[in-house]
Amino acid sequence: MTNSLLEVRDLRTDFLLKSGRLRVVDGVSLTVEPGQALAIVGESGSGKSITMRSVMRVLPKTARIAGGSVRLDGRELTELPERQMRQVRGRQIGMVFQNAMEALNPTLTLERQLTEHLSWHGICGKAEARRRAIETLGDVGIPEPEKRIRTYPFQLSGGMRQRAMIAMAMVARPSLLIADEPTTAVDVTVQRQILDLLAEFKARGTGIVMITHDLGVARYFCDDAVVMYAGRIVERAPVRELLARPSHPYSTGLFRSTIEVGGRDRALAPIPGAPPDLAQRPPGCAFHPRCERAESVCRENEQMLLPLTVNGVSRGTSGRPGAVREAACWKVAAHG
Amino acid sequence: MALAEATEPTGSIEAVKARGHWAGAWARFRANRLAFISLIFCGLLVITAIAAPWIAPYHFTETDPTARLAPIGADGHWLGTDMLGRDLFSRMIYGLRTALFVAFGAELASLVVAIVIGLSAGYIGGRVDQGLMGITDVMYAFPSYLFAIVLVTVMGRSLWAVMLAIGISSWVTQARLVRAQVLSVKEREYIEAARSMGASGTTISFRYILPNAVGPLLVTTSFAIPAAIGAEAGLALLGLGVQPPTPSWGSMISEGTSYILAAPHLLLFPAGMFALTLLAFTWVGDGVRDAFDANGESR
Amino acid sequence: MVDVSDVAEPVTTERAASERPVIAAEHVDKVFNTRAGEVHAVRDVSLAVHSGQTLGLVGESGSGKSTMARLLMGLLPPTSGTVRLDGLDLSTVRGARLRQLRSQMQMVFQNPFGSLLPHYSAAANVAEPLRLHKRGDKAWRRERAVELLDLVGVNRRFVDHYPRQFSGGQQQRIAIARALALEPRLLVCDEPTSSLDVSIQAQVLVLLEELRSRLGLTVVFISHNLAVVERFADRVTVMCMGQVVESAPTEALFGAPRHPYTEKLLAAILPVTSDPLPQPDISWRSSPDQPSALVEVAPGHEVRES
Repeated sequence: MTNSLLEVRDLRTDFLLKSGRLRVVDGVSLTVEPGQALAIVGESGSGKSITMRSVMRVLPKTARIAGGSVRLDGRELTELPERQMRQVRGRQIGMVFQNAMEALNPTLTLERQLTEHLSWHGICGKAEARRRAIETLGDVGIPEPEKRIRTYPFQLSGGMRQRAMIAMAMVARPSLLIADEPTTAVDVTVQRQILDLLAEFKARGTGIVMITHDLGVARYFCDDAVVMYAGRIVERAPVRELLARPSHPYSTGLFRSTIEVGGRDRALAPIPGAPPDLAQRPPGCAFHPRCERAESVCRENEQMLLPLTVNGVSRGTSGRPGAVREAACWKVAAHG
Repeated sequence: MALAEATEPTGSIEAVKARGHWAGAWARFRANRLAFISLIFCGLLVITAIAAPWIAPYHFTETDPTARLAPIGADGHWLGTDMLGRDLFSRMIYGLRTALFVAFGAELASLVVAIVIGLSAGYIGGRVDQGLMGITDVMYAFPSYLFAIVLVTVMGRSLWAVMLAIGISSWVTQARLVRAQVLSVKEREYIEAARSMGASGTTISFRYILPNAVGPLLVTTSFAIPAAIGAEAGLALLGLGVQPPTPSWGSMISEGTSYILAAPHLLLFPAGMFALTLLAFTWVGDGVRDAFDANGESR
Repeated sequence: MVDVSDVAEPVTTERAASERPVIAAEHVDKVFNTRAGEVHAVRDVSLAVHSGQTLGLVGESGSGKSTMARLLMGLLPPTSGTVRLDGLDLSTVRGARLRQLRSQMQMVFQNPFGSLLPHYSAAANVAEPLRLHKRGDKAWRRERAVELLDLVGVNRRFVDHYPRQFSGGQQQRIAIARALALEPRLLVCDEPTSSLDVSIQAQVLVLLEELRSRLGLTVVFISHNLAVVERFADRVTVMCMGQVVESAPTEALFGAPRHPYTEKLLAAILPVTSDPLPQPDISWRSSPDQPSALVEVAPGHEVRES
């Protein structure tokens, strides 16, 4: 078996509440290859952010990884001591957030933040660190990086701040970048620039996990997608195929809820109801109360994530190695 | 109809009962056992203070010349008597009455003043704000004990003077808090929404802003009450409290220290009750704070 | 004797009303004095929305679109220029009369939880505008509130719940019910769906679409999302840095955008079923300090010269 860049198997994460354990990530498996981008699509509360925070082990105090494995370049992360995990986070995984102010220290200049990051992790010496910091700032499209490196985050505009955060994530040249809704808080005209910028890192071989609720962003930027609902993956597919032929009723519903320019003739068919409260997770398939195709089997049992087949043959994917189509739905699997 | 069907609420809300801001805070308060027991204790204290003439076996001025410095369990004086033969139990009950009267009176008055001043300063803003906050800052900078001394000297050692002396040092903090609360609530979208519905300034201040500022106010008030009880005793200890023979725990404690060897109960009982009362009120305050803190982060 | 004027008057007012826009802004400017100095949020904006029409107001953050919404609602006074509701200059009315007038124009805000009174139940929130305008008695107001909540799809069983007990989508429904309580002629929606989840966004839009046609509302719809505006508006005005850069009937604007900034906005959209448009090579930089003229390039299609 070849080693993928990131291989998550059956990951489970719980929140410890007064009332007991609440499973927020339930048996998630995913793979990311170098130079590939995976979209984790889902609405708020679907567990998409907690999944990746479990991978990085930067969970809130009340959350625990309950099981499963996370391998980065073949190395198991869930059992790594915190000290080594910190090294992994600094050197091998970078993270980009929705809000740049969350990731940047407002009281330090960009120079200190970027160079300290490098020297803390013992990546290089001071002079080299400064050179690399300037280079990375230039890479993320900040004009006059030699000058801007001396500014504080709040002195930058929103778009520039987002770029500075990306520079921060990329300065150690990590092999994996986790981007959590990196363009949700920026203006529409900036969104595409940011994505194009991330695409350059992707082209250089960085594997990227993009957490997003925006199917347009997923289509533009990512190769593969997993759709999450109530802490589980309900569908996995190459992103273009997912959008061309969504299989799981939830994916179909998300697609039909998306409004796009020129799509005036496409009827807007919202999914009824709202995502479930995980503490009162519906029995069987968690989506069944909102699903128009639900039958008695859906109300009673949960279907596993199974490969989609047509007449017993794996339904065609683009032929790219590693590209799979799977869905967790009784109706889909039964009709094959 | 398709519309109605599309919008059936999710299951989650059904399990939850309609519960307001207050109901939630009360439920959390009640779940806090220490706070709840303290509240019951404080309630009993208040009832005792109100019903003092009926509960106390003697009037606080009544002397029993046959039993001076009577020990605990003496005939007719089960907590004993002081050096003038006055019943200690009765005097403690009346002392409680003084303490609570002064504390609640002072805090109530200061709350009213604070709400009026803080609300006007915060809501109207501009010059009104600057003027009112200027006055408040001057008052804040003035040492409160000095103020009390001046007041008591001018007005005499009456209950009202003590109440005023304590109330004046307390409204300043409260008014600043009200103003800060108003300023933060004022920026909330629902105030703008209320304006767009056509609500007037007074409606907005009293119906929308104030109820949402009450939580923090209640918290500081519940901490201010034990502080005021302490201040009353403190003033009495300095000889600035209410005019004897009206009993005050502060003066009782100071008298008790003189007889600490001959009659230690004269010090122990007032001091013990004083400490217990302060603790109980403070624990109630803690409970109130926790109850409202959790509310703040809801959703 | 028959009083002719009595019969004739409704006819003339009705005709006048159909010609006169429900809401109109004429050369409106808004300058904020902040600690950092003057901020010119809105510059010389004119627009008009006729009865039953929907105007989409599009722009990025800092374009002045939200300020414009508040100017139209009379929540902010313009620094210069006039805003007219049914021909009446809002700056000439004050106090109680202005509050009275507000019953004809209502607003739906971006953050539904923030815009609802937290200490009022859903029904009390919806009944509040009725109480403020002294409509009916308490029992009637409650009944009306429940009816309105029913109309927007909030189940009767939950009308006594408090805002924080509802999901975001449900909260926005309550806010919409409240905005409709006074039967306003004009509804101003400021990014009503942008804080909601994708599947909920669509629900709320479908609801607004349906209510609009059922109640014949005049709507100003503010959004940064061009796709939503395309779907919802009859006419679109694009704002950038406080100025109108292009204003046209929806089809014309999306079919044949004239202003480079509009093109840039359109190219920024990432569609779900097709590839995005190529980025325009002309980079347009607005220089609001040297204002250029708005030119009518086709009937009803105005573009700022660049």
